[in-house]
Amino acid sequence: MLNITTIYRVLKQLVIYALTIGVLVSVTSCEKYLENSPDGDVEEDKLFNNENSFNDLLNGCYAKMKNENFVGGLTTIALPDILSDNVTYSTDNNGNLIRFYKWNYNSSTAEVENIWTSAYSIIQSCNEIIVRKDKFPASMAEAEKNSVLAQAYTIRSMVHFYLYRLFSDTKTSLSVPYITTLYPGQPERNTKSEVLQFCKQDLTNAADLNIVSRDNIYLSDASVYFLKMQIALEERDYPQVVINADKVLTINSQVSSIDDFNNMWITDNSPELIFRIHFTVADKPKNAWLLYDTRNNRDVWYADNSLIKLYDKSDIRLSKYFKVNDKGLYGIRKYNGRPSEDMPNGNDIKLMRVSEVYLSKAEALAHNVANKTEVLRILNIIRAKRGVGELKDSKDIMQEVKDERRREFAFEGMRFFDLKRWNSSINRESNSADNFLDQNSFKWSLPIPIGEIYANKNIKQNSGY
Amino acid sequence: MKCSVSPFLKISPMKKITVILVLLFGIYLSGYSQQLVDGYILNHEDESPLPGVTILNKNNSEYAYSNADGYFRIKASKGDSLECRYIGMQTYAFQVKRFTNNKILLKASLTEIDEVIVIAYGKTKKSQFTGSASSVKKETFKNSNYASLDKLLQAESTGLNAIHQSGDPTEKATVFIRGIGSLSADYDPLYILDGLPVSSNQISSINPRDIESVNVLKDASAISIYGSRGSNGVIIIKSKQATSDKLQIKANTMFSVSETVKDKLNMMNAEEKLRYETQLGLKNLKEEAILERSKNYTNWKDEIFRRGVTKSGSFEIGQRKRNRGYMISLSYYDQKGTVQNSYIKKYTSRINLSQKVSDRIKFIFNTNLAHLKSSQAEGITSRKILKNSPIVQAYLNNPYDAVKDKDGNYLTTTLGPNAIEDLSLMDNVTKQNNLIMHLGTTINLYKGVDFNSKFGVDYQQNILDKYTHPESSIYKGAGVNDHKGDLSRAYRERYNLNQSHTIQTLILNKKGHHINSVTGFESTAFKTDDFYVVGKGFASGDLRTLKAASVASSTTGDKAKITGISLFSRINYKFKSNIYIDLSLRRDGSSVFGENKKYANFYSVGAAYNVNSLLKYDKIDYLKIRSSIGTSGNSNISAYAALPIYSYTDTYNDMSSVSKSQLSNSNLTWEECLSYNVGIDMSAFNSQFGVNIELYRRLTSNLLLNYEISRTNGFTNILKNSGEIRNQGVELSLRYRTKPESTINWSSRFNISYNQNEVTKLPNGRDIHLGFTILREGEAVGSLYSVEYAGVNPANGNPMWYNNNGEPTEEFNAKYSKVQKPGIPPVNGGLFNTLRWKNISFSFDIIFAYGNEIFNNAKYFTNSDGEFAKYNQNRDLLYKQWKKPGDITDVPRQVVGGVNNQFSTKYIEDGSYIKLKNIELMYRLPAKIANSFKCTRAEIFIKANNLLTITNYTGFDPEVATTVDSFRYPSTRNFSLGLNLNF
Repeated sequence: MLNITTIYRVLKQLVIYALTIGVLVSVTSCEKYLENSPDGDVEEDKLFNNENSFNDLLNGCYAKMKNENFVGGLTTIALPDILSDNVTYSTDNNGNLIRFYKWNYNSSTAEVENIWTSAYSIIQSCNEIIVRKDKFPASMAEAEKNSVLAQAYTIRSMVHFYLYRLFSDTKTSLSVPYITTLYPGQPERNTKSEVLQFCKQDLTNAADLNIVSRDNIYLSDASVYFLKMQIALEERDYPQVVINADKVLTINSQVSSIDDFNNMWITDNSPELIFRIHFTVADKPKNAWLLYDTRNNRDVWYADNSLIKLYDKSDIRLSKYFKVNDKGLYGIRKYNGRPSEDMPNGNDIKLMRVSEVYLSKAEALAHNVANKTEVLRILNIIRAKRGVGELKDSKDIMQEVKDERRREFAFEGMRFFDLKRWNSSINRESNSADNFLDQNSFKWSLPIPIGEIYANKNIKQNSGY
Repeated sequence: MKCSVSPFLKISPMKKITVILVLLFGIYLSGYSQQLVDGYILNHEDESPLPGVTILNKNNSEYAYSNADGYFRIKASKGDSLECRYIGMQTYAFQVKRFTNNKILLKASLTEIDEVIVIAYGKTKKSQFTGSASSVKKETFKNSNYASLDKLLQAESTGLNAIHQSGDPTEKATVFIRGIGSLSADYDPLYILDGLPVSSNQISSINPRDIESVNVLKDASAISIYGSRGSNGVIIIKSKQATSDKLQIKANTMFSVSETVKDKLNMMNAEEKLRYETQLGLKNLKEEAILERSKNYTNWKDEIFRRGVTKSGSFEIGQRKRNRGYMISLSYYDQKGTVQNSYIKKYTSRINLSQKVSDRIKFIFNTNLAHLKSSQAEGITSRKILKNSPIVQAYLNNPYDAVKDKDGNYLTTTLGPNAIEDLSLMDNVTKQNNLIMHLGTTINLYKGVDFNSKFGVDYQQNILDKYTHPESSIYKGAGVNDHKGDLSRAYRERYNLNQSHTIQTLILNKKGHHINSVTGFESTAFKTDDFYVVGKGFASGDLRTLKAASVASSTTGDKAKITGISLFSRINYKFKSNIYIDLSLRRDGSSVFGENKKYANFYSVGAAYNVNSLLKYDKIDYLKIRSSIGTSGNSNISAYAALPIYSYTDTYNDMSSVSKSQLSNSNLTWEECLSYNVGIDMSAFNSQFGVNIELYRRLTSNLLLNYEISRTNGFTNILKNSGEIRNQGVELSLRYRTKPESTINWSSRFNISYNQNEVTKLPNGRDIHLGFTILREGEAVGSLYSVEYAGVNPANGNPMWYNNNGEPTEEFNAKYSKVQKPGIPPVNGGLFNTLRWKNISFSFDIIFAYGNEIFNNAKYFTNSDGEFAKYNQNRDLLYKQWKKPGDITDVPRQVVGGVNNQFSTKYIEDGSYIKLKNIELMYRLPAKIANSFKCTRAEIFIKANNLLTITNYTGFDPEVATTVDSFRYPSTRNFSLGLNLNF
C-alpha cells in the first residue's frame, strides 16, 4: 500500500542514486584534469616540432663532453699520466686516484663506472640526431643540416674511439659495443676491428657531409681528419696517418709561437688549437684539481723525475707546466684555471692541436729509416717554438719522437695510450713491485664496470678481471 | 443546543475526593521534590575532589557544576535521575535518594571496553570493527619533550616502526607500517588529519598536545577505502575539540637538557696519532718532538658538541556551549641541538571551531598555523663523507691540529675548511611557514542521511638561506678580483588542495539487521613551486641580502602539478552485536601515471564475529574473531615520471642545449598491495586484561623500480613496474591493568611484532645492487651484500676475505659478495608501564629490536688500515696492528694508500638492542597548593629519554633507519622538568 514511509524511502533512494550518478558523470568528464604537462621541460612530440631543436640537441652533445668524469677532465688531464710513468704522488694526496697509480682498480671502482656511463650518454645524444636525420625541419638550410649531422657522426666516432682505447680486451679480440640505435637493449661487445671500422665509417660520413667552420670550441673538418689520423696510428696504418695528417695541415699548420704557447695555458686559446672542450665561468669547472688544488695551494701529484729529466733547461714547457718547490719536487701547474675571468679551478680541454699532428706524422714516418731527414725537420719545427735548440742528428730517431711527444703532451691524456701502442712496460723510478707494469698485463685495459655486467647479460668482462 | 454537564460532575463524590487528594498529594510531592540536592563528587581512586563535573537532572533538564571542593547543588526531586559527567571518567547515573551528603565516586573511563576508533570517513567501536587498527592514547603526547608526533610513536602500536635515529632537531623519524612494501616510491604511511590527507612534512607543524587521538590502520579492511595512497598503512590524527561546558584553560611549560649519547669510537689522542703517522712514514718526528708537539692538542668533540637546551610551553583554552564550541591553543618550542649552531624554534597556533547552525547543519573550521626556524648541522647518511660536516670533523680531525693560530685566525684542517669556522661563519637557516586549514560541513538531509563536505588546504612555505662569510677560510688564496662571500636562497612552496564529499545513509535497521553506507567523491591537487638564487661578492659579513652581492651567480626554478580524483563507497552490515561485515570499493585516477594506466580499482571485504555471545562467560567482556582481504595502492612518484622528457638545463658556451632526461614509460602505474589479515581481540575482567593477536600477509606487486639497464641506452636505469615484495608476520599485544579501586594502580602494555620481508619477484630474476645492499629474490629488502672478511693473515699481516669456495684469499674481489642479514629489524616491540599511587605516577617505556645488521660506515674511515691515515684514526690501529710474522690480531698491516681497506663484513655488525626509551615521574600537587595558584589541577614532572641502551653495536646508536650508518648527528640523552596547570 502506498503510505508515507514507503514514498519516503523511495524518494530517499532516488536522491541517493541521482547524486551518485551526478558525481560519476562529473568524474568521467574530468579526464583533462588528470593531464598535466611540465612547465620546465619539453615532451618529445613538442620538441621535434621546433626548428631550433636540432641545434640545441647538438649543443647537448657538446655540453655532455664537459663531464669531468670523462673527457671533461679525468681521462684527458689526469688518468693516462697517473696510470703511467709521468707522476709520483704527494703526501697531500688524500687517496684521490691512488688506486689507479697502483693499478689496483677493479670492476667496482667508481671512476670506471662514471667513464663508461658518461661516454654512452654522449653517444646516445648523438644518436638522437643521427636517427632522425630524415626528420630535420624543412626550414633548415641544407648546409646547416649537413653540418649538424656531420658533427653528430664525429662525436659518436670520437667517443667510441676513446672507449676503444680504454676498454678493449688485452687478450681477446673484443672491444666495446658500438651503438647506433636509441634503444639497443642489451648489446654484445663488438670486435676491435669492427669498432675501428665503424669509427672510420662515421668519420667518412662526416667528411662527406662537411662541417661548417666555426670557432675551435666546435668541431670542424680538420677535426674529422685529425681523428682519422689518430685511428690510423692506432691501427699502425702509417701511410694513412701521413695522408690524414697532411689533410689537417692544409687547413691549419700553425704550431704556437712561444708567446702563443704561454698564452694557451692562460686563456685556453691559441691559433694551433683545432678543437677544445670549452668551459665558461658559469660552468664552474674543477678539473684543475685533479693535479693541483688551486684553492689550498696543495700539490696532489708531482711530476716524476723521469719526465723532468727530459726537458732542457731552456725549454719553455718546463716553467710553463711545472713549478719546483723547496724540496726539489715538481708540482704540476699546467692547469691553473683562467683566473682573469674568475674561473680559478678549471680549464678548457685542448683535445686536438696542430703539434700532435706533426708528432704523429713524425712517428709514422720514423718507422722507415729513409724518412729520417723529414722526421728531424718536423721535430725541429716543434723544438724551435719551444725554446729548445735544433736537433742535428740522432742515433735513435724513434726515441726522439717518443720523447718529444712525452715532453709536449704531458698531462694531455696520452702517455698511457702511447706506451700501450708502443708495447712498452711501465717502469717508474723506484723499482719496487708497485712501480712496474709488465707489457702483457691485463691491467692495460680498464675493467667493464660491474653495473654494466649486472644489467647486460650479453656483455663479457675483460680478461683478468 | 443541549447543555452538557462537565464529565467531572458526573463522577461520584467518593471518586472526586480521591482524585483531589491525589492531586494535592501530587502537588505536595512535586513541591517536596523541588528541593536542592547536594553532595560531593570525588575521584574513586583517591577520593580527591573533582571540580568542574557536570551534573544533569534528566527529569527537569537542570544542570549544575561541582566547585573546587567537588561540592554541587542542584534542583531535583526524590527519584529523579541524575547524571554526573566528567571527561576521562565514566558517566555515573543515580536516582535521588537523599537530599544532602551525597557522596559520588567517579571511576576512570574504561576506554578499553569499547573504544571509539576513528576510521576512514567515520567512527566505529573497537568491538564492531572488522579491520586491524590500534589507538595511541593522547597521554603519550601530553608531556612530550619532542617537537613532533613522529618521534613519539615507536612501538606504540604493533606493526608500527617509527625510528627516531638522530639528535638532529630538524630530522623526522622514519615511519613505516608492517614492513617495507615499496622501493622507489616512498614508504611513508598516509596521514589523515581531521578527515583530510595531509603531507608527512606537515606532521612537525602539529603541536603534540593538540592531538586528541591517533589511530594506526593496518589491514585491508581499514585501509582499502583510501585506495591508491593507503597501501603503506594509514595514520589518522584527530585534533582536540572542546567538550566541556565549562571554560577549560590549560597551560604547561617544560625545560630540558640534552647531551650526545656516549660513543664507542675510541679515537687516538695527539701523541698516539703523531706516533702512528711517524710509523707509517707520513711524518718524520723523533720521540721528543712528538711529546713536545702533543702538549698542545685540541679535543674536537668538545669544540663541536655542546650541551643542548630545550624550552617549551603551551597554552590551551576551550569551551563548548550548546551550539558553538571552540578550542584555541598556542605553543612554542625552542631547542638547541647538541651540535654547535643547530637549533629549531617552533611556534604553533591552532583554532578549532564548531558551530551548529540548526538541528541539521553543522560547520567545523580548523586551522593550524606553524612557524619554524631551524639551522641544520650536516650529518651524513650516505657512503661518501662530507669533509666539512662538523660531525665528521669532530672525529676525523687530527688532535694535534689547533683550531686557531696565535693571531686568532682559523686554521684549515686535514679535511679542509675548519668546521668550527664554518659553523661560526656560515649561516644555514631554514624558515618555514605552514598552514593547514579545514572547512567542513555536515548536513542531515533527512533521517538517516547525512551529507558531509570537506575542503582542505595544506600549505608549506620553505625558505633556506645559506650564507658564507667573506672572511671564511675557503676564500684563502683567492685573488683580489675573486668574489668573497656567498648567499644562496632556496624558496619552495607546496600546496595540497583537497576536497571530499560523502553521503552517509542508514539503509536498513530492522530486526537486528543494520546496514549503513558511505559513498563519496574526492579530488586532490598538489602543486609545487620553487626557485633558487645565488649572489656572490659581499664587501663585509654584515651584508646579508642579495642586493648587496656584486654578482648574481645562478638562478633556477621549477613548478610541478599532480592531480587525482576518486570515487568510493563502503557498506557496513551488522547483525545484533554478533556479526559484522564490511565491504568497500574505490576507483582512483592520477595524472602521474602512464597514458595506458591512469585509473585503478581497489576493494576490500572484512568480517568479524563476536564469540562471547556464544560463550556467555561473564568474565570475558568481548572476544572477537575477524578477518579481512583487500587491495590498496601506492603512488608516490614525481609529477612527470612517465613522460618522454627533454631538458634544457645544461649549456655549451653559455648557449642553450637540450638532451633527453629520462626514458619514458607509458605503462607506469600504481604499486598494488593485496593483503590478508586474521585477528583476535579479547578483553576480560572488566577490561583489566586485553589481548590482541594478528596474523597478516601483504603482497605488493608492480613495484616501482629504478630498473638497471645497460648503460649503452644512455641511462643507467628506467622507472618501471616490476617485481613483488611480500611482508608477512605476527603481532601480539598484551595489556594488563590493576582494578581501578586498588591503591597502587599499575597498567602495562607489551607489544611485539615480527615481520618477515622478502622480495618475491624481480624483473628477469636479476639482482639489483644498491650500494651495500642488494635486492634479490628470496632475500629481504635492504639485505646487506658484502664480501666476507676472513681476518688477518698472521704470516704477512694482510687482510683476507673468503672467496667463492669459502677459502681465505688475499685478493679482494666484489664477486665474492654474499647476502647478509637485512638492515631493517624483523622483530621490534616495546613494553610500556605506568604506576599510580595517590598523587604520584611513574612510567617507563622500553623498546627493543632484533635480527638486523648495520653497516658501520664510520668505521671504514676510522679503522681504515692506512687508507685515511691522514685523518684521525681508532686507537686499535696503533696498538693492535700486525707488526711481524706470527702476530695474531684482527688489525692488518697498516699500508698508506689503503690497498688493505675494502668494504667487507669487517664493518657489518649486529644491530639488535634494548633501550630504556622514556622514564617519567609525575606528581600532582595537593588541591590546596593548586588552588593557591588559582588552578584546578597542577602537576609537576621529570622525565628522561634514551637513558640506557644495551647493544653490541659499536657505532653511534643502533636505532637506525638506514642500513648504512655513517657519521650521522648523534642521538641524545635528554632530561626534562615540566609543569602542567589546569585553570
